[in-house]
Amino acid sequence: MHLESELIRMESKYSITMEFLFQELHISYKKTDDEATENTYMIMFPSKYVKQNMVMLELDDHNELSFYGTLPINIRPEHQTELLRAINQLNCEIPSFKAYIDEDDGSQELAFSRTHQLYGDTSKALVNAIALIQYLEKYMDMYVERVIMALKK
Amino acid sequence: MNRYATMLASYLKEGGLPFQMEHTDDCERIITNGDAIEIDDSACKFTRAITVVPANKIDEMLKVANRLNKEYNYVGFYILPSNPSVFCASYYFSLYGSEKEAADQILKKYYVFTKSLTDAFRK
Repeated sequence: MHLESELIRMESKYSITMEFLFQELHISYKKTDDEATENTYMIMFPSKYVKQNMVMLELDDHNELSFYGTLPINIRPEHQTELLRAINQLNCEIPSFKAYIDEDDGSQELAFSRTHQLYGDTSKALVNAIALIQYLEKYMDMYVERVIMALKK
Repeated sequence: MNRYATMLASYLKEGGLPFQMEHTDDCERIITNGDAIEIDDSACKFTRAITVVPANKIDEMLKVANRLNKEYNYVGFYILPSNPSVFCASYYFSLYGSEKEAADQILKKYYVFTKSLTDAFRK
């Protein structure tokens, strides 16, 4: 089979898996229509700190599922180093999860990301994707808690 | 030694790459080319110590780490709060499948890791 058509077949298999997964887990999702961000989903789940966490999940051509979550923050310049130290400590402790301050167009966000490989048949891919979603639910709130604690010191 | 580390060690031996192997309580650690490859039954982590950070440069390096964390998807950059502080990069991922699949995956991702670091510090 031609490699390209094989990739499309794989992508569509996992895309269907993703949508099935969101429905099964009762997670609200929206698939982006933009061609450049094909196979990108926006999902929402409850969080302690914001009304709803909004996270982008993207499935790339290598069947890697990445998530990217952000939380708007407003840190005064004199507190920025403290925040960077807190984030560094977490990045050092938990290398499977990455956090950073994202400053674009004047807005400031605490960003979180992680990539997870989907593989095998549909059921295996589902287990993988569930693990990723559980992981981000667990760690995003924990990260925010730690950052708040560090800033209170 | 776990099955994934055994397979990777045999690949490295076949490829004529010098390496050292250490056993820890949590994982097998392979040191090659100055990089640490830590492997357990379900995950692998590459770590490279990039440079020692003088105490008066830590705040500046935190900003560099933040910029690189934003720019590079897979690799994480951080300062290890040891004495002296060390600026590190690491790449963590889950392992799956047969020993051969896992070893192939490790080598492929090791290439991504080294290429990302070359790109990051070429600029």
